[in-house]
Amino acid sequence: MHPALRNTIKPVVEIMAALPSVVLGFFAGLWLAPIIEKIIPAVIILPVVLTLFTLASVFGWQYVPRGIKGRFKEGSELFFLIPVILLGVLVSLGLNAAAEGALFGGDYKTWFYDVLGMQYDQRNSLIVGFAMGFAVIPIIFTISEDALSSVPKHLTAGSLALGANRWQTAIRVVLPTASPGIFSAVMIGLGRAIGETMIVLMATGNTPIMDWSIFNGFRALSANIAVEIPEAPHGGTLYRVLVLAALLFFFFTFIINTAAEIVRQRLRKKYGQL
Amino acid sequence: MNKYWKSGDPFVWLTGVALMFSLLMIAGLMYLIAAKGLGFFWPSDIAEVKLKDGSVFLGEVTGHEKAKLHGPEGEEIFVERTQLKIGNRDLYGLDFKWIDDDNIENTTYPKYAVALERREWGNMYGFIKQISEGGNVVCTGNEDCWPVLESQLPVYSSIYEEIKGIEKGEIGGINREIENLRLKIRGEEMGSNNQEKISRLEAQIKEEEAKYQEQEKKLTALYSEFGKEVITMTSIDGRDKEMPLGNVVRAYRPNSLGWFGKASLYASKVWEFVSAEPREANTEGGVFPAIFGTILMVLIMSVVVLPFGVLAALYLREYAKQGTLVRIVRICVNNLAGVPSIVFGVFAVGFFIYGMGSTLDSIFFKEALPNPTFGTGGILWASLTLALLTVPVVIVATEEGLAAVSKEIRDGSLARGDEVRNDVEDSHSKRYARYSHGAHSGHREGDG
Repeated sequence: MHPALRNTIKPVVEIMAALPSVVLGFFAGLWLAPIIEKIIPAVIILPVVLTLFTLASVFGWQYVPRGIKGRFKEGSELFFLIPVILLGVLVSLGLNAAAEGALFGGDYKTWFYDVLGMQYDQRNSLIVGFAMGFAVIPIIFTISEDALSSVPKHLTAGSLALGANRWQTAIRVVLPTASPGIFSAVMIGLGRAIGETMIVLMATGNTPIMDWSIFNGFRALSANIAVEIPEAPHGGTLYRVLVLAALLFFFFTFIINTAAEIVRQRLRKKYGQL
Repeated sequence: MNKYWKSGDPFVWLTGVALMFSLLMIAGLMYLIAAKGLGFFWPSDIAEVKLKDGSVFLGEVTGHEKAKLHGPEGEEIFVERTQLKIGNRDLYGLDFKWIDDDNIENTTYPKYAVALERREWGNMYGFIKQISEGGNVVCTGNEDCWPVLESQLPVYSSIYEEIKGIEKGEIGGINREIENLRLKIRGEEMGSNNQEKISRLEAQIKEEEAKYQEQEKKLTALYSEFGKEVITMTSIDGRDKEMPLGNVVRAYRPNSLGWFGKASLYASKVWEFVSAEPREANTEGGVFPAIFGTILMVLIMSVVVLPFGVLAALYLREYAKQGTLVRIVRICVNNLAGVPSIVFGVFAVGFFIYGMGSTLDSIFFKEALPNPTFGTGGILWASLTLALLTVPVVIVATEEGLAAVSKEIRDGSLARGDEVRNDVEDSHSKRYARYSHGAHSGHREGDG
């Protein structure tokens, strides 16, 4: 991708990373949850529609004459995809009622209950997943981007010179070399998702009952502590249990982080000599 | 076709989809926050909605939706309805009302409709009937009273400021003084029990109480001034409501305001939001205390974090022998950076507040117990916890910055005969930007 383009896209994503998670949780819980509740069928068919649209755009792109293709700055042709994605989202929204009729017999809540035996809660794991995506994507993006762009230029140049195409170079040369960085990005993102308190607190129902359905509310360890600790009397049973929960939580993240760090150092050793 | 797939371009294209999707999500979220957040203070027009059954409502249109209802036989009916902020909580009991669009006869925007923001009971929408002072009518009707209202409001808000100032400043100071003296007496009773000293302190309390009476008189005078003029408003259903002019924070007639007038009103509302204290159990007014608290907390945190974090990173990278021990320390620091903030929160409650705070109280502030002085949540403890939370982040980021100083600069400096220390100082100045980046990411964490 063209450096100038990258220099504008990266700060945009970084702005997103700086957004406090409370804001995300607030929006997910109070704005997104009621809307998603209305358009669940559209949300379910959205991945299918989007895949179809992008595949269509891939096929379409090869018929675009070379003359037009050449005019774009390297990478900027991707902005063509914005209308494609928007169109995909709009089409799924438009198909909302039709899909509800065809797939769920007119009312998805009754269908869920009758066929799958699940209840639908307004604030559920799906909403948290959305909001968490907003919180975690920028972090993974920025760190992996750093790792990918610090791959030495002579490696990619060599690969391209030997006749590999762009995609082969990216998959076989750039990705392995940058893998320690990408791995740590994923682990940091995971760490943030596990430790995330405010989004979970605001966008789930904090119901302490466990259920496998993604349309039910739940309660996370972090949110559990956050909800209960202001009420816990010093030295009481609740207080001690919460401290124990915090300790458990600490060990949990400690083990994951240490494992990640060790794997990262291994990978670095393996690909570091390049 | 086959060649096209072999070239790998379709896959590059697919990765592009992922990037564009992320960018769209971000743009959408930013737009959403801006639209929802900034639109809130825009003064919308006051609508007079007449229903088919003859009842009338006055208020700001705040929403519109298509609701799905179930009819008597279980069939689905779609109803369009409008949400109206009718205010006048003291008259109606409710701030908002949903009106079915089918029932609306017509909607008009009366020119003289006034919106009053009040210190109590939320907004009032209605028409001005009269303004009177001590039983004498000053003016009647919308046309005459508006200039009077506009000229009197600043006077009352300055009186209000004065009252608040006395309550908080003078009387607050006297109360603090009395409390201090009381604690001193208590300490004396618990300790040497020197009667002479105690009676002297008690005399001082008497003095302070006399001062308090004086201020109290001043306040009473101000309060009677505050309630001198009374405005009578007529609501849309013809009920009159009297209230002292001092109770009105802001008055405006959105229907006769131009675009510019609305913009300046909007600016003043936004400014109130960031600079004023909350009113009415946090439902109106501003968020200044919250902003102030956040900034102060982050400042205290930075003072603690920056020296520790930067110096620790400097030592780890430049001076420490890169052996197993340093590697373990580094893994620990990285680990600490990944520990969820809620764990730090529990630690703060247990260690800072209940541990350190209670100990400090029992040593230095014995006479105030059982009221905690340090043994309760406070900005100091919050800042220290944030400092703990951000130190690892700052260390990691600063170390990365130091690692990026090129070997040539380092070697060159050493070759010139500088000691290691000077060398570090050189690179320090060159990599200043990197440090500030480290500090910045620390702040970001702290804010979250």
